Amino acid sequence: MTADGLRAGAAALAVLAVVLAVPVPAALARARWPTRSPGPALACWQAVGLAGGLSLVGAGLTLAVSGQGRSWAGGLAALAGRLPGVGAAGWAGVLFTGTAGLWLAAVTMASAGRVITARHAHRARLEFVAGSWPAPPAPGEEERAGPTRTHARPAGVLRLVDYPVPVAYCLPGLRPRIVVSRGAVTVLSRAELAAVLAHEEAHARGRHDVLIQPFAAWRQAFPFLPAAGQALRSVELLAEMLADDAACRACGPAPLRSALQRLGGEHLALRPQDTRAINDELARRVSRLSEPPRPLPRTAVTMLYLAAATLILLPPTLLVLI
Amino acid sequence: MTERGHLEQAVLRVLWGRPGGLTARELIDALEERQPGMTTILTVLNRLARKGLVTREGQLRPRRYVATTRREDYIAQVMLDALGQAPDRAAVLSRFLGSISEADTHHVRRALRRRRANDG
Repeated sequence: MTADGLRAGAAALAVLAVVLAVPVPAALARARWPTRSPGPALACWQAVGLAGGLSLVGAGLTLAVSGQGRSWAGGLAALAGRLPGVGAAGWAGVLFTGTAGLWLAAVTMASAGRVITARHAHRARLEFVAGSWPAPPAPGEEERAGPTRTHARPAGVLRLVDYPVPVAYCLPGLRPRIVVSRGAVTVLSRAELAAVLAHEEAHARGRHDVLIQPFAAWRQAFPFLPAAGQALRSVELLAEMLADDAACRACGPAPLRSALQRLGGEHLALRPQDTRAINDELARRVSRLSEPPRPLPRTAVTMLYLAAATLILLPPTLLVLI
Repeated sequence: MTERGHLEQAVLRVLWGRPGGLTARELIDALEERQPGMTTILTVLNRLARKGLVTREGQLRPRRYVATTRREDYIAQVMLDALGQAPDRAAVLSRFLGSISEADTHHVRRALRRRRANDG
Protein backbone atom coordinates (compact mmCIF):
# COMPACT_ATOMS: atom_id res chain seq x y z
CA MET A 1 0.00 0.00 0.00
CA THR A 2 1.30 3.42 -0.88
CA ALA A 3 1.34 6.51 1.24
CA ASP A 4 -1.34 7.94 -1.04
CA GLY A 5 -3.55 4.92 -0.42
CA LEU A 6 -3.18 5.34 3.30
CA ARG A 7 -3.97 9.04 3.04
CA ALA A 8 -7.10 8.22 1.08
CA GLY A 9 -8.06 5.74 3.79
CA ALA A 10 -7.50 8.37 6.44
CA ALA A 11 -9.70 10.78 4.48
CA ALA A 12 -12.44 8.15 4.18
CA LEU A 13 -12.38 7.55 7.92
CA ALA A 14 -12.41 11.29 8.61
CA VAL A 15 -15.45 11.73 6.36
CA LEU A 16 -17.16 8.85 8.14
CA ALA A 17 -16.39 10.45 11.51
CA VAL A 18 -17.88 13.78 10.41
CA VAL A 19 -20.95 12.12 8.91
CA LEU A 20 -21.52 10.17 12.13
CA ALA A 21 -20.95 13.27 14.26
CA VAL A 22 -23.29 15.71 12.53
CA PRO A 23 -25.93 14.67 9.96
CA VAL A 24 -26.60 11.12 11.17
CA PRO A 25 -27.40 12.06 14.80
CA ALA A 26 -29.51 14.97 13.57
CA ALA A 27 -31.51 12.66 11.28
CA LEU A 28 -31.85 9.99 13.96
CA ALA A 29 -33.02 12.60 16.49
CA ARG A 30 -35.63 13.90 14.02
CA ALA A 31 -36.90 10.49 12.90
CA ARG A 32 -40.33 9.33 14.06
CA TRP A 33 -39.72 5.57 14.00
CA PRO A 34 -37.53 5.34 17.14
CA THR A 35 -40.54 5.94 19.42
CA ARG A 36 -42.18 2.87 17.85
CA SER A 37 -39.32 0.56 18.89
CA PRO A 38 -37.02 2.27 21.38
CA GLY A 39 -34.82 -0.81 21.87
CA PRO A 40 -33.48 -1.08 18.30
CA ALA A 41 -33.27 2.70 18.15
CA LEU A 42 -31.02 2.74 21.21
CA ALA A 43 -28.83 0.07 19.56
CA CYS A 44 -28.48 2.36 16.53
CA TRP A 45 -27.49 5.28 18.75
CA GLN A 46 -24.83 3.17 20.47
CA ALA A 47 -23.49 2.10 17.06
CA VAL A 48 -23.37 5.68 15.79
CA GLY A 49 -21.49 6.83 18.88
CA LEU A 50 -19.04 3.95 18.93
CA ALA A 51 -18.37 3.96 15.18
CA GLY A 52 -17.95 7.74 15.24
CA GLY A 53 -15.31 7.56 17.94
CA LEU A 54 -13.52 4.64 16.27
CA SER A 55 -13.37 6.34 12.88
CA LEU A 56 -12.17 9.60 14.42
CA VAL A 57 -9.24 7.92 16.15
CA GLY A 58 -8.70 5.57 13.18
CA ALA A 59 -8.42 8.52 10.77
CA GLY A 60 -5.66 10.09 12.83
CA LEU A 61 -3.80 6.80 13.21
CA THR A 62 -3.93 6.09 9.48
CA LEU A 63 -2.65 9.56 8.67
CA ALA A 64 0.15 9.04 11.18
CA VAL A 65 1.37 5.82 9.56
CA SER A 66 0.97 7.19 6.01
CA GLY A 67 4.43 8.73 6.32
CA GLN A 68 5.87 5.24 6.45
CA GLY A 69 4.43 4.30 3.08
CA ARG A 70 3.71 0.74 4.09
CA SER A 71 0.71 -1.27 5.13
CA TRP A 72 -1.29 0.00 8.06
CA ALA A 73 -0.05 -2.52 10.63
CA GLY A 74 3.57 -2.41 9.41
CA GLY A 75 3.47 1.37 9.40
CA LEU A 76 2.21 1.42 12.94
CA ALA A 77 5.12 -0.77 14.09
CA ALA A 78 7.63 1.37 12.15
CA LEU A 79 6.05 4.50 13.58
CA ALA A 80 6.72 3.38 17.11
CA GLY A 81 10.37 2.74 16.15
CA ARG A 82 11.24 6.08 14.59
CA LEU A 83 8.94 8.92 15.45
CA PRO A 84 11.15 11.70 13.98
CA GLY A 85 10.92 10.29 10.44
CA VAL A 86 7.15 10.33 10.01
CA GLY A 87 6.92 13.49 7.91
CA ALA A 88 4.48 16.39 8.07
CA ALA A 89 1.33 14.36 7.41
CA GLY A 90 2.51 11.80 9.93
CA TRP A 91 2.98 14.44 12.56
CA ALA A 92 -0.44 15.89 11.84
CA GLY A 93 -1.91 12.42 12.29
CA VAL A 94 -0.02 11.78 15.51
CA LEU A 95 -1.10 15.12 16.95
CA PHE A 96 -4.70 14.66 15.85
CA THR A 97 -4.98 11.10 17.20
CA GLY A 98 -3.28 12.06 20.43
CA THR A 99 -5.40 15.13 21.02
CA ALA A 100 -8.74 13.67 19.98
CA GLY A 101 -8.14 10.29 21.58
CA LEU A 102 -6.82 11.63 24.85
CA TRP A 103 -9.51 14.30 25.06
CA LEU A 104 -12.29 11.78 24.44
CA ALA A 105 -10.82 9.28 26.89
CA ALA A 106 -10.19 11.92 29.57
CA VAL A 107 -13.67 13.45 29.38
CA THR A 108 -15.37 10.06 29.29
CA MET A 109 -13.46 8.80 32.31
CA ALA A 110 -13.90 12.04 34.25
CA SER A 111 -17.62 12.04 33.53
CA ALA A 112 -18.04 8.38 34.49
CA GLY A 113 -15.96 8.94 37.63
CA ARG A 114 -18.06 11.92 38.66
CA VAL A 115 -21.27 9.96 38.17
CA ILE A 116 -19.99 6.97 40.14
CA THR A 117 -18.75 9.17 42.98
CA ALA A 118 -22.02 11.10 43.16
CA ARG A 119 -24.00 7.87 43.16
CA HIS A 120 -21.83 6.29 45.83
CA ALA A 121 -22.07 9.35 48.09
CA HIS A 122 -25.81 9.51 47.59
CA ARG A 123 -26.28 5.84 48.42
CA ALA A 124 -24.25 6.23 51.62
CA ARG A 125 -26.30 9.28 52.70
CA LEU A 126 -29.52 7.53 51.76
CA GLU A 127 -28.83 4.57 54.05
CA PHE A 128 -29.03 6.86 57.10
CA VAL A 129 -32.66 7.69 56.43
CA ALA A 130 -34.07 4.95 54.21
CA GLY A 131 -35.82 1.86 55.43
CA SER A 132 -36.02 -1.39 53.54
CA TRP A 133 -39.34 -1.77 51.91
CA PRO A 134 -41.46 -3.77 52.09
CA ALA A 135 -40.37 -4.26 55.68
CA PRO A 136 -39.31 -7.83 56.45
CA PRO A 137 -42.43 -9.64 57.69
CA ALA A 138 -42.71 -10.23 61.40
CA PRO A 139 -42.70 -13.92 62.36
CA GLY A 140 -46.07 -15.45 61.55
CA GLU A 141 -47.12 -12.47 59.48
CA GLU A 142 -48.35 -13.49 56.06
CA GLU A 143 -49.47 -10.29 54.39
CA ARG A 144 -46.69 -7.92 53.39
CA ALA A 145 -47.07 -4.19 53.31
CA GLY A 146 -46.17 -2.56 50.03
CA PRO A 147 -46.86 -2.95 46.37
CA THR A 148 -48.34 -6.00 44.72
CA ARG A 149 -45.51 -8.21 43.60
CA THR A 150 -45.93 -8.81 39.91
CA HIS A 151 -42.69 -10.76 39.87
CA ALA A 152 -39.89 -11.39 42.31
CA ARG A 153 -37.91 -8.28 43.16
CA PRO A 154 -34.31 -8.63 44.23
CA ALA A 155 -34.09 -8.25 47.98
CA GLY A 156 -32.90 -4.98 49.42
CA VAL A 157 -33.43 -2.96 46.27
CA LEU A 158 -36.43 -0.91 47.36
CA ARG A 159 -35.97 1.93 49.82
CA LEU A 160 -38.65 4.00 51.50
CA VAL A 161 -37.78 7.51 52.63
CA ASP A 162 -39.86 9.47 55.10
CA TYR A 163 -40.34 12.55 52.91
CA PRO A 164 -43.68 14.27 52.34
CA VAL A 165 -43.07 15.25 48.70
CA PRO A 166 -43.97 12.43 46.29
CA VAL A 167 -40.66 11.24 44.83
CA ALA A 168 -39.58 8.06 43.06
CA TYR A 169 -36.28 7.40 41.36
CA CYS A 170 -33.75 4.78 40.48
CA LEU A 171 -30.15 4.89 41.65
CA PRO A 172 -28.54 2.57 39.12
CA GLY A 173 -25.41 0.52 39.59
CA LEU A 174 -24.25 -2.95 40.52
CA ARG A 175 -26.34 -2.64 43.69
CA PRO A 176 -29.24 -0.57 42.37
CA ARG A 177 -31.66 1.20 44.65
CA ILE A 178 -35.21 2.15 43.83
CA VAL A 179 -36.19 4.95 46.16
CA VAL A 180 -39.77 5.89 46.94
CA SER A 181 -40.87 8.62 49.34
CA ARG A 182 -43.72 8.30 51.79
CA GLY A 183 -45.42 11.08 49.83
CA ALA A 184 -45.40 8.94 46.68
CA VAL A 185 -46.86 5.96 48.53
CA THR A 186 -49.62 8.22 49.89
CA VAL A 187 -50.45 9.98 46.64
CA LEU A 188 -50.28 7.07 44.19
CA SER A 189 -52.82 4.30 44.00
CA ARG A 190 -51.59 0.74 44.42
CA ALA A 191 -51.68 0.13 40.68
CA GLU A 192 -49.91 3.41 39.90
CA LEU A 193 -47.19 2.64 42.43
CA ALA A 194 -46.68 -0.82 40.94
CA ALA A 195 -46.33 0.77 37.48
CA VAL A 196 -43.81 3.34 38.73
CA LEU A 197 -41.78 0.62 40.42
CA ALA A 198 -41.85 -1.54 37.28
CA HIS A 199 -40.60 1.47 35.30
CA GLU A 200 -37.72 2.13 37.70
CA GLU A 201 -36.90 -1.54 37.86
CA ALA A 202 -36.58 -1.65 34.08
CA HIS A 203 -34.01 1.16 34.32
CA ALA A 204 -32.08 -0.70 37.00
CA ARG A 205 -32.14 -4.10 35.26
CA GLY A 206 -31.44 -2.77 31.79
CA ARG A 207 -28.55 -0.64 33.06
CA HIS A 208 -29.96 2.30 31.12
CA ASP A 209 -27.41 4.49 32.86
CA VAL A 210 -24.68 2.70 30.90
CA LEU A 211 -26.51 3.43 27.63
CA ILE A 212 -26.84 7.13 28.49
CA GLN A 213 -23.42 7.72 30.04
CA PRO A 214 -21.32 7.81 26.82
CA PHE A 215 -23.64 10.40 25.32
CA ALA A 216 -23.45 12.55 28.44
CA ALA A 217 -19.66 12.32 28.14
CA TRP A 218 -19.82 13.15 24.43
CA ARG A 219 -21.84 16.26 25.19
CA GLN A 220 -19.25 17.31 27.75
CA ALA A 221 -16.40 16.61 25.33
CA PHE A 222 -17.96 18.58 22.45
CA PRO A 223 -20.39 21.06 24.02
CA PHE A 224 -20.28 23.16 20.82
CA LEU A 225 -21.70 20.32 18.68
CA PRO A 226 -25.50 20.61 18.49
CA ALA A 227 -25.66 16.94 17.52
CA ALA A 228 -24.16 15.93 20.88
CA GLY A 229 -26.99 17.64 22.75
CA GLN A 230 -29.64 16.19 20.41
CA ALA A 231 -28.13 12.73 20.83
CA LEU A 232 -28.19 12.93 24.63
CA ARG A 233 -31.79 14.14 24.75
CA SER A 234 -32.91 11.44 22.30
CA VAL A 235 -31.14 8.64 24.14
CA GLU A 236 -32.58 9.78 27.48
CA LEU A 237 -36.09 9.92 26.07
CA LEU A 238 -35.72 6.50 24.41
CA ALA A 239 -34.50 5.00 27.70
CA GLU A 240 -37.61 6.40 29.40
CA MET A 241 -39.83 4.93 26.68
CA LEU A 242 -38.09 1.57 26.99
CA ALA A 243 -38.84 1.59 30.74
CA ASP A 244 -42.41 2.74 30.01
CA ASP A 245 -42.86 -0.26 27.72
CA ALA A 246 -41.59 -2.62 30.42
CA ALA A 247 -44.01 -1.07 32.93
CA CYS A 248 -46.87 -1.43 30.42
CA ARG A 249 -46.08 -5.09 29.91
CA ALA A 250 -46.20 -5.63 33.69
CA CYS A 251 -49.13 -3.40 34.64
CA GLY A 252 -50.84 -2.07 31.51
CA PRO A 253 -50.64 1.51 30.21
CA ALA A 254 -53.40 3.16 32.29
CA PRO A 255 -51.75 3.23 35.75
CA LEU A 256 -48.40 4.41 34.39
CA ARG A 257 -50.09 7.17 32.42
CA SER A 258 -51.99 8.48 35.42
CA ALA A 259 -48.85 8.19 37.59
CA LEU A 260 -46.89 10.19 35.00
CA GLN A 261 -49.58 12.84 34.89
CA ARG A 262 -49.55 13.04 38.65
CA LEU A 263 -45.77 12.89 39.27
CA GLY A 264 -44.46 14.08 35.97
CA GLY A 265 -42.10 16.73 37.33
CA GLU A 266 -39.17 14.45 36.51
CA HIS A 267 -36.70 16.70 38.19
CA LEU A 268 -36.51 20.20 39.41
CA ALA A 269 -35.46 22.49 36.64
CA LEU A 270 -34.17 25.88 37.59
CA ARG A 271 -34.16 27.34 34.11
CA PRO A 272 -37.45 27.87 32.25
CA GLN A 273 -36.10 26.30 29.05
CA ASP A 274 -35.37 23.08 30.98
CA THR A 275 -38.94 23.00 32.27
CA ARG A 276 -40.20 23.37 28.69
CA ALA A 277 -38.01 20.51 27.48
CA ILE A 278 -39.14 18.30 30.37
CA ASN A 279 -42.82 19.07 29.79
CA ASP A 280 -42.42 18.38 26.09
CA GLU A 281 -40.73 15.06 26.80
CA LEU A 282 -43.45 14.16 29.27
CA ALA A 283 -46.23 15.05 26.84
CA ARG A 284 -44.67 12.74 24.23
CA ARG A 285 -44.51 9.88 26.70
CA VAL A 286 -48.08 10.36 27.90
CA SER A 287 -49.48 10.54 24.36
CA ARG A 288 -47.44 7.46 23.47
CA LEU A 289 -49.11 5.62 26.37
CA SER A 290 -52.56 6.88 25.32
CA GLU A 291 -52.17 5.81 21.72
CA PRO A 292 -49.39 3.25 21.56
CA PRO A 293 -47.73 3.36 18.13
CA ARG A 294 -47.47 0.09 16.23
CA PRO A 295 -44.04 -1.45 16.94
CA LEU A 296 -41.78 -1.81 13.90
CA PRO A 297 -42.21 -5.08 11.99
CA ARG A 298 -39.83 -7.88 12.90
CA THR A 299 -37.90 -7.64 9.63
CA ALA A 300 -37.31 -3.91 10.13
CA VAL A 301 -36.04 -4.57 13.65
CA THR A 302 -33.65 -7.25 12.34
CA MET A 303 -32.42 -4.87 9.64
CA LEU A 304 -31.80 -2.16 12.25
CA TYR A 305 -29.74 -4.48 14.45
CA LEU A 306 -27.79 -5.63 11.37
CA ALA A 307 -27.19 -2.03 10.34
CA ALA A 308 -25.97 -1.18 13.85
CA ALA A 309 -23.55 -4.13 13.83
CA THR A 310 -22.29 -3.23 10.35
CA LEU A 311 -21.73 0.36 11.39
CA ILE A 312 -19.60 -0.66 14.35
CA LEU A 313 -17.56 -3.02 12.16
CA LEU A 314 -17.08 -0.44 9.40
CA PRO A 315 -14.13 1.56 10.81
CA PRO A 316 -12.08 -1.51 11.83
CA THR A 317 -12.80 -3.10 8.45
CA LEU A 318 -11.60 0.01 6.67
CA LEU A 319 -8.42 -0.10 8.75
CA VAL A 320 -7.79 -3.75 7.83
CA LEU A 321 -8.47 -3.14 4.13
CA ILE A 322 -6.13 -0.15 3.88
CA MET B 1 -24.33 -2.83 54.70
CA THR B 2 -21.41 -3.30 57.05
CA GLU B 3 -21.54 -3.65 60.82
CA ARG B 4 -19.90 -0.23 61.15
CA GLY B 5 -22.46 1.31 58.80
CA HIS B 6 -25.30 -0.13 60.84
CA LEU B 7 -23.85 1.30 64.02
CA GLU B 8 -23.35 4.74 62.45
CA GLN B 9 -27.01 4.74 61.40
CA ALA B 10 -28.21 3.62 64.81
CA VAL B 11 -26.15 6.29 66.57
CA LEU B 12 -27.35 9.05 64.29
CA ARG B 13 -30.96 7.95 64.74
CA VAL B 14 -30.62 8.13 68.53
CA LEU B 15 -28.99 11.58 68.34
CA TRP B 16 -31.74 12.86 66.02
CA GLY B 17 -34.21 12.03 68.79
CA ARG B 18 -32.21 13.97 71.43
CA PRO B 19 -31.77 17.61 70.37
CA GLY B 20 -29.80 18.33 73.57
CA GLY B 21 -27.17 15.75 72.69
CA LEU B 22 -25.78 12.83 74.67
CA THR B 23 -22.46 11.80 76.15
CA ALA B 24 -20.82 8.70 74.72
CA ARG B 25 -21.82 6.73 77.84
CA GLU B 26 -25.47 7.82 77.60
CA LEU B 27 -25.40 6.99 73.92
CA ILE B 28 -24.25 3.42 74.58
CA ASP B 29 -27.09 3.00 77.07
CA ALA B 30 -29.59 4.46 74.60
CA LEU B 31 -28.74 1.98 71.84
CA GLU B 32 -31.32 -0.76 71.82
CA GLU B 33 -29.47 -3.48 69.98
CA ARG B 34 -26.18 -5.05 71.00
CA GLN B 35 -24.40 -2.29 72.91
CA PRO B 36 -20.91 -1.46 71.64
CA GLY B 37 -17.86 -0.70 73.77
CA MET B 38 -16.60 2.81 74.53
CA THR B 39 -13.75 2.62 71.98
CA THR B 40 -16.14 1.54 69.21
CA ILE B 41 -18.67 4.25 69.99
CA LEU B 42 -15.97 6.95 70.02
CA THR B 43 -14.68 5.71 66.64
CA VAL B 44 -18.18 5.83 65.21
CA LEU B 45 -18.74 9.32 66.62
CA ASN B 46 -15.45 10.48 65.09
CA ARG B 47 -16.48 9.11 61.72
CA LEU B 48 -19.85 10.84 61.96
CA ALA B 49 -18.08 14.06 62.96
CA ARG B 50 -15.80 13.79 59.92
CA LYS B 51 -18.87 13.43 57.74
CA GLY B 52 -20.24 16.61 59.28
CA LEU B 53 -23.23 14.86 60.81
CA VAL B 54 -22.26 15.19 64.47
CA THR B 55 -20.44 17.83 66.53
CA ARG B 56 -18.86 17.79 69.97
CA GLU B 57 -20.12 20.38 72.40
CA GLY B 58 -18.57 21.85 75.54
CA GLN B 59 -15.04 21.96 76.88
CA LEU B 60 -15.65 19.82 79.95
CA ARG B 61 -15.48 16.06 79.77
CA PRO B 62 -17.49 14.02 79.24
CA ARG B 63 -18.38 15.89 76.08
CA ARG B 64 -21.83 15.86 74.60
CA TYR B 65 -22.40 14.79 71.02
CA VAL B 66 -25.10 16.56 69.04
CA ALA B 67 -26.50 15.90 65.58
CA THR B 68 -25.71 18.87 63.30
CA THR B 69 -28.96 18.75 61.34
CA ARG B 70 -32.51 17.83 62.13
CA ARG B 71 -33.63 14.56 60.57
CA GLU B 72 -36.18 16.28 58.30
CA ASP B 73 -33.54 18.69 56.99
CA TYR B 74 -31.11 15.86 56.34
CA ILE B 75 -33.77 13.94 54.39
CA ALA B 76 -34.63 17.06 52.39
CA GLN B 77 -30.94 17.47 51.53
CA VAL B 78 -30.59 13.85 50.42
CA MET B 79 -33.68 14.19 48.25
CA LEU B 80 -32.29 17.39 46.74
CA ASP B 81 -29.14 15.45 45.91
CA ALA B 82 -31.17 13.08 43.83
CA LEU B 83 -33.47 15.62 42.24
CA GLY B 84 -31.10 18.47 41.66
CA GLN B 85 -28.40 16.88 39.53
CA ALA B 86 -29.87 18.03 36.26
CA PRO B 87 -26.62 17.99 34.27
CA ASP B 88 -25.63 14.44 35.25
CA ARG B 89 -28.76 12.52 34.53
CA ALA B 90 -26.92 9.23 34.27
CA ALA B 91 -26.33 9.37 38.03
CA VAL B 92 -29.98 9.20 38.98
CA LEU B 93 -32.48 7.95 36.47
CA SER B 94 -36.06 8.82 35.97
CA ARG B 95 -37.05 11.13 38.73
CA PHE B 96 -40.72 11.20 39.42
CA LEU B 97 -41.59 14.26 41.42
CA GLY B 98 -44.93 15.72 41.93
CA SER B 99 -47.86 17.37 43.64
CA ILE B 100 -45.94 19.70 45.83
CA SER B 101 -47.57 22.94 46.78
CA GLU B 102 -46.25 26.23 45.46
CA ALA B 103 -44.70 27.03 48.84
CA ASP B 104 -42.87 23.71 48.89
CA THR B 105 -41.60 24.22 45.37
CA HIS B 106 -40.43 27.67 46.32
CA HIS B 107 -38.64 26.35 49.39
CA VAL B 108 -36.95 23.51 47.48
CA ARG B 109 -35.89 25.79 44.65
CA ARG B 110 -34.39 28.28 47.06
CA ALA B 111 -32.46 25.52 48.81
CA LEU B 112 -31.22 24.26 45.43
CA ARG B 113 -30.08 27.69 44.35
CA ARG B 114 -28.29 28.25 47.63
CA ARG B 115 -26.49 24.96 47.21
CA ARG B 116 -25.49 25.82 43.63
CA ALA B 117 -24.13 29.13 44.86
CA ASN B 118 -22.10 27.37 47.53
CA ASP B 119 -20.75 24.82 45.05
CA GLY B 120 -19.87 27.28 42.36
